[in-house]
Amino acid sequence: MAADVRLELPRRRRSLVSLTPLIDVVFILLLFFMLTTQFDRRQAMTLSVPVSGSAAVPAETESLVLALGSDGRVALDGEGSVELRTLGRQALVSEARTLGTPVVVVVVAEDEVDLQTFTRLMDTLAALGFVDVAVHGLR
Amino acid sequence: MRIAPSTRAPADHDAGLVPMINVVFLLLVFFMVAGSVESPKPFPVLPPESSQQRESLASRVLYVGLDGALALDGEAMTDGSLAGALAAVEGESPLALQADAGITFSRLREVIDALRAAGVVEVELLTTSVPAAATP
Repeated sequence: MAADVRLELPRRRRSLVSLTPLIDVVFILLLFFMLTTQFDRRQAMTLSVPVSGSAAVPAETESLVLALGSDGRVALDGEGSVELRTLGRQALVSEARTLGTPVVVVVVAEDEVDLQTFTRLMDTLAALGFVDVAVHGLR
Repeated sequence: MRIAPSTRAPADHDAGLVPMINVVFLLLVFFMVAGSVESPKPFPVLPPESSQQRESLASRVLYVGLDGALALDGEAMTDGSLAGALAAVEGESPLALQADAGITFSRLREVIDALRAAGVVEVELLTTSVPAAATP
């Protein structure tokens, strides 16, 4: 038999729903999320605002008073001022760190100190291991 | 034996789109899961840099601009109107302060005082991480 054998593939069923509107919607959603999402993680620093009267300080705690000037220098307990980055090397600070009793650090900042300088001091204190930091004026 | 060339039905041209849709769906899921949708800032704010990398727990953000202006939920605020706006929604979660790095400490104290008067107990200050090149 020389007759041609034709293989007919089964005809694909025509889909009822066209994909084009779906793609339109998905693209719009994609654009929306691309334009509105932000990827930077929000990080934060706690500023405690205790209710007045609840801040009872235990009697046997040592306190270390730091005065932050607008030039970014820190005065220790009324003594001479030092640069922020050398704060950890000061005798009073290292003494306070080695004490057995918990130490409360009291920060007194001048009015003109900008927030970045203040944040840097709080960072330095946290890095030095002081947990209990009270900011004068915020409590 | 000859196989007849397949004659594509006109409806079949959708089939070529399927890989593209797959990719677009993947991108869509990525942006939905990896990012977070945030309302636009009422005014430009440059938060201070900090090395303390605790993640923020607050759900509401109070913006403090360089000129001291306040904005909460997209509305401009004054120190006086803050109390009413905050009392309207009772919430246990802390309030985040998105303050410009250049504001003075006295302005920060005023804002905190206003918040305390409004009954806010916990305030966190939003910061950005220190750029890697700047770390000593």
